[in-house]
Amino acid sequence: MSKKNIVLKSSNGIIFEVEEAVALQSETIPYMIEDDCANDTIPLANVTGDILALVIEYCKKHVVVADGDGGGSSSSSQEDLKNWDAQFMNDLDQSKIFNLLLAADFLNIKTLFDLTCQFVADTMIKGKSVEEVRRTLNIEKDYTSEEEAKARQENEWAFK
Amino acid sequence: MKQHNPNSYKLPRRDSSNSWSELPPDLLNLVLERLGVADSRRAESVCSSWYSAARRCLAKKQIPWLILLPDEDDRMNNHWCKLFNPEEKDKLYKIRDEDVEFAKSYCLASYGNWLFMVDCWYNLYLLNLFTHERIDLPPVESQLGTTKLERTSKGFFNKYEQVGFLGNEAMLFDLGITVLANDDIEMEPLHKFDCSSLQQLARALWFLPSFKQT
Repeated sequence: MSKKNIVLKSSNGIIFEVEEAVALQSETIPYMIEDDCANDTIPLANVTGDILALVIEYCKKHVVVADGDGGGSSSSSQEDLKNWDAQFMNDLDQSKIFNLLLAADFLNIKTLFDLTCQFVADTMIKGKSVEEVRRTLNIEKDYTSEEEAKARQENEWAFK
Repeated sequence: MKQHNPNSYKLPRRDSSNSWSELPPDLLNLVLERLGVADSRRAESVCSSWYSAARRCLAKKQIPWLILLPDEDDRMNNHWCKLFNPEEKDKLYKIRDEDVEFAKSYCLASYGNWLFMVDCWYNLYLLNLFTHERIDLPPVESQLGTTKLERTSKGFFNKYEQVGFLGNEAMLFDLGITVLANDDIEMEPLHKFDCSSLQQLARALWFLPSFKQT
């Protein structure tokens, strides 16, 4: 049986051709296919090429493993997949992670979305001081000093 | 507790157009709800959009904490108590309050962040651990009611059971009001005082903190 391919186009015009099973890990893409862009290219106006490449890399990996042993439920392949996920996230900088989170949400790929949320929480926020979080995530503080002092006072115990 | 080295996580500052403070609130919620309570509380201080998101998450998933009071003869730690959150098993939060002699006090009951405390002179007070507000209650002798209370000659008590006459007859209604029950009213003790055989838990009590937005 020949596999059907789907063509995705990023917001900056980069074309990706992927197997249908890869693309269908996104719950958004089927709607777009139904909406009659199926014979043509599916334009993804919210996702840039470099981020779409990452999404496809993730989806390819996960579809392969799911095919590999009839459901991918064996513990060793689950373990491998977890390690792969961890490495995948580790290689990204915070700007890519930010855009990956938005893309996973837009494309509605639940496992990738969960993976990204958890990674942000675990490695970029957990156990860090407020200043570290701001620095890590490049957040400008928009509090006045008084407001910040008040927020801190309420949470004084959490800063020790 | 783990010390944070401010230089341990260096990323170059970048002028990218994305901003984590402008993450859509529903997405931010989904990230922040994966944090423990202390991380959540710190996240409130990051910026104003995180403040409201972190508050929403926190209120959703509160579980009881354990408060650990110092030993009665522990003069060094008299003004300290420790909080244990079962979600963060390797951490103990230390709370210091100069106005409270934790080593000489017992926690009889709790309501949200408020603890109903009694010290070794039978002074009753309500204490908010997180804001350090303290409300002293009228002395037990001055309470209205048919039950007459007398201090024992010793003045001190060592076990929770020995304040049973308070625990069974004093009801903590809502916040700040303690009334004594009439003898002829049947009622369940508000709180069963658990004297654990484990030494380190002997002066511990579960309480359910409430971090809801006010």
